[in-house]
Amino acid sequence: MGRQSFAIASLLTAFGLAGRYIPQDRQILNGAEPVLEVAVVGDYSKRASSAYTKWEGANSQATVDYYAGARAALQTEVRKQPDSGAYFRITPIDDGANEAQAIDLARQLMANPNILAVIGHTTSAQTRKTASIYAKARIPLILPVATAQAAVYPDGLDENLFGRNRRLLNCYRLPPSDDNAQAPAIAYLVTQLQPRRVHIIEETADGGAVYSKPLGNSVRTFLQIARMSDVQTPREVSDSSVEDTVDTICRGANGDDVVVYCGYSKQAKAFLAALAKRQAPGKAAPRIILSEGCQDLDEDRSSGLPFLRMSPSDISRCDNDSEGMKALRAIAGADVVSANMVFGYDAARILIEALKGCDEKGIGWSRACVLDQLQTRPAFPSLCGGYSFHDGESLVSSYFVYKSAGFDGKALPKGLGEPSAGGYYEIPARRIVQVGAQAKGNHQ
Amino acid sequence: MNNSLSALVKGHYRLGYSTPLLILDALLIVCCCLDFLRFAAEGFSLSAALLLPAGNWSEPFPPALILMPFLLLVAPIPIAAWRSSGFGRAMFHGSLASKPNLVLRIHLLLAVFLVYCTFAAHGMERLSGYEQFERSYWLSFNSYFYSLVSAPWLSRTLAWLGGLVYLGGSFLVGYVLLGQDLPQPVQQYLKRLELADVPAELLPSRSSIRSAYGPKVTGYQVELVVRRELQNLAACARLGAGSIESIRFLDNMFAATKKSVLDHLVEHTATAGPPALDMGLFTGTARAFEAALGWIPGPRTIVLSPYTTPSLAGLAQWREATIGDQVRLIEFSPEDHLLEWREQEAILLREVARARNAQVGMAASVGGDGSASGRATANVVLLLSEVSYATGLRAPLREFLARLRNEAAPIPLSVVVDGTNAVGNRGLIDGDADWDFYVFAPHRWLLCRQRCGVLLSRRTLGNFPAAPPNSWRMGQNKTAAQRAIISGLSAALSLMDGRDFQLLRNRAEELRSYIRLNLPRNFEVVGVNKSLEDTYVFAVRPSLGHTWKWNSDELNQRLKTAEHPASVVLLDPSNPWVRIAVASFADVRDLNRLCTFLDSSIT
Repeated sequence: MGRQSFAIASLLTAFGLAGRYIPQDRQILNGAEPVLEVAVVGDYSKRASSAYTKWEGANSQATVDYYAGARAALQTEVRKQPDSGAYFRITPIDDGANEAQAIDLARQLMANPNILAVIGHTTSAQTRKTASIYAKARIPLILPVATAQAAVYPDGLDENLFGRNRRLLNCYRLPPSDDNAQAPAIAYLVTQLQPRRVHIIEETADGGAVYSKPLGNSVRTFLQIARMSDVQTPREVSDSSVEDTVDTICRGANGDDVVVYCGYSKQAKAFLAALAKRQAPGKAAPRIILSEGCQDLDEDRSSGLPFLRMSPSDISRCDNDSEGMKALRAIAGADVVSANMVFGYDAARILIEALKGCDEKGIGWSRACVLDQLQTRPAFPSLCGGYSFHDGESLVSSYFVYKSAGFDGKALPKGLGEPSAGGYYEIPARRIVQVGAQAKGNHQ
Repeated sequence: MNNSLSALVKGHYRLGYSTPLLILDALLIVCCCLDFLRFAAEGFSLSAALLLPAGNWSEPFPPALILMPFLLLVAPIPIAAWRSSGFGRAMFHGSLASKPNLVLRIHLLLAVFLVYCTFAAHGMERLSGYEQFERSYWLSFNSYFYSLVSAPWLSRTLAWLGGLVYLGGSFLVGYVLLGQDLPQPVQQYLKRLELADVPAELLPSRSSIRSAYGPKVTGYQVELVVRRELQNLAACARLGAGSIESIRFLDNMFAATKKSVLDHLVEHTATAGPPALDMGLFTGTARAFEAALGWIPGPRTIVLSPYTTPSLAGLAQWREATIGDQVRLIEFSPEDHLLEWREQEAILLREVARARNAQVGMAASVGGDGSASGRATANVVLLLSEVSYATGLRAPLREFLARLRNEAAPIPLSVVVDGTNAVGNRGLIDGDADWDFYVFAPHRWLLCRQRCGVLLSRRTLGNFPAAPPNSWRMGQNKTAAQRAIISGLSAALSLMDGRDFQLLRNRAEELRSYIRLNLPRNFEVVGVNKSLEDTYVFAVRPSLGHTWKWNSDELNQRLKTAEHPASVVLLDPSNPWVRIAVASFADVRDLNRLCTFLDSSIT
């Protein structure tokens, strides 16, 4: 028995040593083309535009914006060191604005060893469905626009179990999460508007529930904390129930009411159209606050109703003379760039900074190294401030803004100063903290 | 010739599909499991790798394609060759050693699992992603298992072995077509394949075995027999030595052993039916012979056959000196041992006739005086060794004894057969032969580790008072030696019930032909005689033109010192014979050593 054990142990050891010292197949890169690839995923739809390259178009302008921003960041950084070659390739991939297609795409990316990181998706619903899949292969996921708290938690995890120790460790968000910023910001705005009654609308169409329901619930909670007396139970709205919901709201409503719409542009546009249609002539319409997801409506005023639209950043306050902003303006072909372009730029820049950190440590560029840098590096630069993904970091440097569309001065909240060049009004972080029960790190 | 090819394939199948192959599988699976653990420990999702061994199937497909024939066809060949060499043989035997079909099924399942592991391991590597540093890149997770199976050495090994198998196969087919015998190395290899499949518990072990119930045992022992013997002794000890239960237990064991001897060791023709035999058990063969002779009334003339061992001759001479038996030794010259059986038989009959005539003459002379008429009925006792201690050839007992009885009439003739080297040595007991007593020792050829003598008699032995000391007496207390020998004999005979004994006989047969095949060219087997049956004992001597380097004493001393399974026969001092005994438990390597020794011991 002793001899048997010895023989088997020896064989196992020999196997282990043989396996340990088997040389890895290192392949040499030909030319400057990097093997690593960053997938910028989102909704790249059919509508072509002359502003950017062939990849754009988009049902959702946001996707095209953050893709263009990411490319601009890579080009800018490569231009700084022309001899060192590119850090990675950026590949735009369409997730079809569809959860099932996004899941298929995530599985393909998971099995693709070239993928260094993923930037996307456009909506919180698709992000939540796919984040767990990326986590299986430890692919860093940078969220440039998705703000729902649930987006960084495993799909299917109960909302009551959300917490720091359950979030996916591969997900890093650039805009602050709704429960930390947008919801208290909306609640703050509502309290400043001093409404008679508050209607909260939650969009359920096209997977919007992942984004709108937690946001609506969070807003309601904050309003209750702020002792608002007449906060209506959140109402769900979908393609088929827009008319009914609008009828219910309009019944007995007046200009003193506030409607908080939590959702995306497409459904919000239908909602506003129905609301405008029901509006009696000469009667003041309820004041409307749109969530950050309705950004496409900034340019679309077809309903004619005034509204306030939330936004996580005000680009006009950034350093317009910086190299990055110049690059973005060049790509956009305009003096003003969108916030999503900045987020895209920042996402790629963060990855590049992480790889530089790997270089400093003398280790190879890999997903593990990027994740390590994201977790341990104290701060990352941004076009408008900076990011820190440290656990426990509070939302100290971030702020939330809103943009007025059609409101007269009287209808606006008092005491918030003048709008910026971009037309945004700032809600300082301390106001948000005052409204919110507690502030959390902006990386959640 | 076709049989040789078939034996080659079957031999490899039987030896290759055995425990070492499963150990190889287990090692690969351990390697794979280590990868799984490492992968999970690095924070990747194991379920994703196991459930999604996809990604790119074209890349792991060639290694998987190589792994399958490697495991199923190539790996068993070196394992078979290794086992046939005898190195570490006892180490990897077990219950699966002689079950190639079962091993094949298990191995097939494991091979399929390993092929799946190939895809899973590749999936793990792909899931980990590339790592890039300066101008080179590699996969972040390096699977040991995938590195092994995708390494170029595996495909090269497969290609080389495949080429060798092809060349070897063509070579053998060429021999088949030409109708020639296979070359000697191939024949030797075939023999080694045949010899390598005895279970470990039936193989000899040099290690000593201790027991609270018996003496410490050292030297070659067959583990299976030893363990059964110790179980018997332990059962006896639990009953208490000398207790009534213990005596009854031992008597029952004796009765069962006797039945086993008569059922399994005594052969008879179907028409004659089983002979009525009684059995006695003694602490040595000398005691058994004494008991046999004690049953033959004196005065006795003991005629010793020329095949008798010197020790048995010594016993007869001792009886001559002490009891007064007359002893006549039939002497054979070395050349007589080489005669045809008819001629040897004629000499034997002539010598027995002389003894008979001497008795007749003595009776006539004494009867003429009118005194001591009892001497006229003096018994002639032939003490005949069934197997010649010198040549190892077996005498045709039945025919010879029938003729002997005719020649000896009317003088009473008793025949005591010495089966010490006969029972289990490529033959059993001929129950139809006309002997009166048959004595054999189960020590060597029946694997009993206790030295004892068994006496078979056509008369009922009973508890006669003249039996030698330490004879088995039913219902009486047994000595420690008796307890040991009945336990040992019972354990050894338990092999006869199953297929183990047949297995050992087959092995002994293969060993015998193996050493005959491997004998150095300048040696000849003594007494090759078509009319006599070979046994596992045979004698060799240098062929014409060659002599030993040493005299017989030194040669014998060298054989003993090196623990060769051989000894010197001193029939011909000028050119001594070396007698080789190939027991079933002999080690092939010992036989190889002996052949090497013989080759180097002549000039």
